[in-house]
Amino acid sequence: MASVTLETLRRVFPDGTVGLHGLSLDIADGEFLTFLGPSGSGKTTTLRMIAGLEHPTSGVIRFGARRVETLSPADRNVAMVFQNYALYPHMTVRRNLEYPLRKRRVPAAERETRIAEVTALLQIGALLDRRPRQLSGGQQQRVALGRAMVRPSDVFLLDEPLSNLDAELRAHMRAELIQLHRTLNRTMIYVTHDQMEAMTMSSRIAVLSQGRLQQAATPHEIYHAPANRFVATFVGSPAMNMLAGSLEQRGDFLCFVSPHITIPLPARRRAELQGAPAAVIAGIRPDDLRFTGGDGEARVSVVERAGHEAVVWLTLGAQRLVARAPADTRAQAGDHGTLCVEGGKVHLFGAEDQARLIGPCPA
Amino acid sequence: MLEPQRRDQALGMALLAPTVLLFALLIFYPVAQSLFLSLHRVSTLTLRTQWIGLANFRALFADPAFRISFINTLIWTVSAVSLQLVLGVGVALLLNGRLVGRSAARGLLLFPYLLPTAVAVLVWRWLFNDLYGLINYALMSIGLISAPVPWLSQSPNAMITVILVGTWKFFPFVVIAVLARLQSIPESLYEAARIDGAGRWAQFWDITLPQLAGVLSVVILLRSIWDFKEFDLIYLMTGGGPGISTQTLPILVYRQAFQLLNFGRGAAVAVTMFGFMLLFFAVHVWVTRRREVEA
Amino acid sequence: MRRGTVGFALYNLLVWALVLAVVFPLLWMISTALKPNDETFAIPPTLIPAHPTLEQFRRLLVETPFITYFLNSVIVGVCTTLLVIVVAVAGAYGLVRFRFPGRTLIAHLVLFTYMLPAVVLLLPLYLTISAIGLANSLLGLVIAYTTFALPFALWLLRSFIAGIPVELEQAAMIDGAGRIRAFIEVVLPQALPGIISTALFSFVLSWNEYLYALVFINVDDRKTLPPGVLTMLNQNQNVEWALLMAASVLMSVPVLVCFAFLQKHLTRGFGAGSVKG
Repeated sequence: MASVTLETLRRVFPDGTVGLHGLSLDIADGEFLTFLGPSGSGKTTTLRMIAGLEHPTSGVIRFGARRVETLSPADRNVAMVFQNYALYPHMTVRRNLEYPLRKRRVPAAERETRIAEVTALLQIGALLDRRPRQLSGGQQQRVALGRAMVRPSDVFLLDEPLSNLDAELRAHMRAELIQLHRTLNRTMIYVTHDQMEAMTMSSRIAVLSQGRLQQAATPHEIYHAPANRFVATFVGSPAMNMLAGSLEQRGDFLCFVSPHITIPLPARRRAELQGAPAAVIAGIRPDDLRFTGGDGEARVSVVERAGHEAVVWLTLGAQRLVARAPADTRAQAGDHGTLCVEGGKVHLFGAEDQARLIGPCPA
Repeated sequence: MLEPQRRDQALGMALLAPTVLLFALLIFYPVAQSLFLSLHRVSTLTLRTQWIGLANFRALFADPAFRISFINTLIWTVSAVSLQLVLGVGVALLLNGRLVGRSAARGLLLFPYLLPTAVAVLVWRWLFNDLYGLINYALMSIGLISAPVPWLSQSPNAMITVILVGTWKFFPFVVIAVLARLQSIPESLYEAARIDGAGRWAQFWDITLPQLAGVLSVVILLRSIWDFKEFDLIYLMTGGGPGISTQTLPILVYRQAFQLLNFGRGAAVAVTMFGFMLLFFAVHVWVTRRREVEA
Repeated sequence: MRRGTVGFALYNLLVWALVLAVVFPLLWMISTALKPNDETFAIPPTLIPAHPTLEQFRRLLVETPFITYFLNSVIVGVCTTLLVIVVAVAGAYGLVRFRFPGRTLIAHLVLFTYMLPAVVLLLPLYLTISAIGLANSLLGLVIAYTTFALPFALWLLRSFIAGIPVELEQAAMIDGAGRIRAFIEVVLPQALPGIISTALFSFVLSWNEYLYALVFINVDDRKTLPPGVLTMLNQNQNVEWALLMAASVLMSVPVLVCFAFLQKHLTRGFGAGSVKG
């Protein structure tokens, strides 16, 4: 049980590419932290450096007060669940679970107890005498979890463990992992590219892109106050609408202006926007964009109906937009209409640095 | 016109017809002929045959030369296969690390295997030459020996030399097969083991070896079969000598049939060897069947 | 072990020293082939020839039947390969893609013939080939060579053809091609690299073969290289080692050329034990 501290962690690969540009992050003891990002963002590299499978080019890693970045994986007392499970193919499930305990010379009686606990918790008792190739994907995943859990470790690492499961099983396992975290009460570090997993399971999310930390915050903050355009578009599905435009004074109101759209901003936001650049990007979540059929410049291109909701894809001039609509919407492809959004719900980002200028107003 | 399925079958059989024909004429018929000859006394001049039943076999098994040839074959096969295995696995493990120019190294290591046996024998006989060979010179200059060693003209030197050359010639096969398997072992297995606290030796024992078990059983079997029937290498190195100290069963067949012109006896040895091959074949089928079930 | 450490350098040094040790006999072969006779027998022996010369090669080509042997080997190799490839491609395709009674039996038989010792077939084959009047002929040798080249080629081609997705032929047949058409226009082009590999392997097998060549041909001008060159070894009291090494070098060249072409394919086929030992 330990907190994990990363200090300007940097990783340059042998071929010269920079995998990680100096990451600094404090992970609290018992926290469930997810590294979220697309492939190549550096998230797996970071996890492997914490595990000790790769060494940082520079920087410090601490578990609690202990410096570990030069230690071998065995000496760090970590546990890891691999993306392809990495179960030992020629050993039975029982022997797979025993292996970490045997390597640490845990006496037989204690081994039995620990394995019994783990098998009860994960309900894999019936599988103990089978070989990995005789198990389904979900079963293998549980065994991989079991093998990681069977030892008391300081940090529990998970490398995209759900990516090889089908959608239904994945949803089920998400709930199980949340439960597991509560029961084990260990520091868990999770890596994924799936923002749904990150949002539902984490205490905090660290969003990475191209080797740099974009934002580290709670899921709520990430969703409602994304630090920059990347985070705003990466989290949330369908992705946030992005409109390039400028801030202009129209009479009494400060407005966001772009072709076909003018959004007046509430007065209370004017103060925050002092000194903002003129060129900005407005971000509007599809849930906040409302489409009304009738006369208007917006045109519906596709309506996706998914039973409980509908997603309406629109074109406005040269701009493509997407809006959520109630399941019984009567919009159809080819319809014209108008769009509206509350000024208070709009995110604004600087066009140059893409950083957040203001977020939506609290309700 | 035949229905599609029948047409398909007919086509399949037609495609295989030349193969089956050639096999029948050139393999099965001669094997049957061997069997036939082994049960007859054959006059070399007239090629007339006279039925003598199992007399050839009885004489054969009573002949001390046969027993010696058989034991020599066992010594040669077991030693050569063992050395090929140990050297082959060792080199494969070495090649599996972070080697600069691995594919070049692998290519170079294959040279002994691909060379004509005739060339390999010439080179090694020259190296092992009593008076002018490089090996005796090198050993004498380091001081390991004080007089030139007669590598091929004395027993048991000759068998040892033959085994060494046989190891050099054929171990690359083991290297290639084992290396290919080693490179397909997922790295994540080793990583999981490291995290679980396994050191280098434990990783080798718990991960590498079990993963190699399949390939090793096939390699051992194939090398045993091929070394067992090897004629060229031993015959060209020593001719079976000195005396018959390196004479193996294949050489005995050749001697009986083509030097002593005792066709019946030669065929009897051949049939005995054929019996062994049937055994090997049965084992091979059993081993491959088991591996397929496990996969 | 990380790059740039002492351990890394030592490891590379050790492994490459080992590779060099294994290849050394061949280097010695080349070195001796370039030596004049008196230097060959000099003591101490020189690793690098002090007076390198191509004299041995000249003598080999001019004073011995080497060229005849070489040409015979080429003829036998090419003919065996052509015959075997044609039969084996058809046979392998039949084995892999068709179901007919006796299919598994034939597959097992192919495997078994692959394991037969040459000595078992030697005598009867010799008698048969003599009986049809082909003793001492290259054609007789080609026929004898099919006994080991054909099973081997079938084995190799089987795995190559099995590796081609059957969907390709099915797509062709849906597009209107018959089975044979589909085979020629779709499978054959895909299998071409495999066929070339098998042909090269076949050629090497035939090139290296000694026993049948020794027994079946007694006339000097029809001999192939292995028995031909080795009789030169036993002919004189004073063995001309440098000459023999020159012969060895030239004998090895075609094999190494084939090998250079085969580089990529070797590791793939080897797992199933595809090259005769």
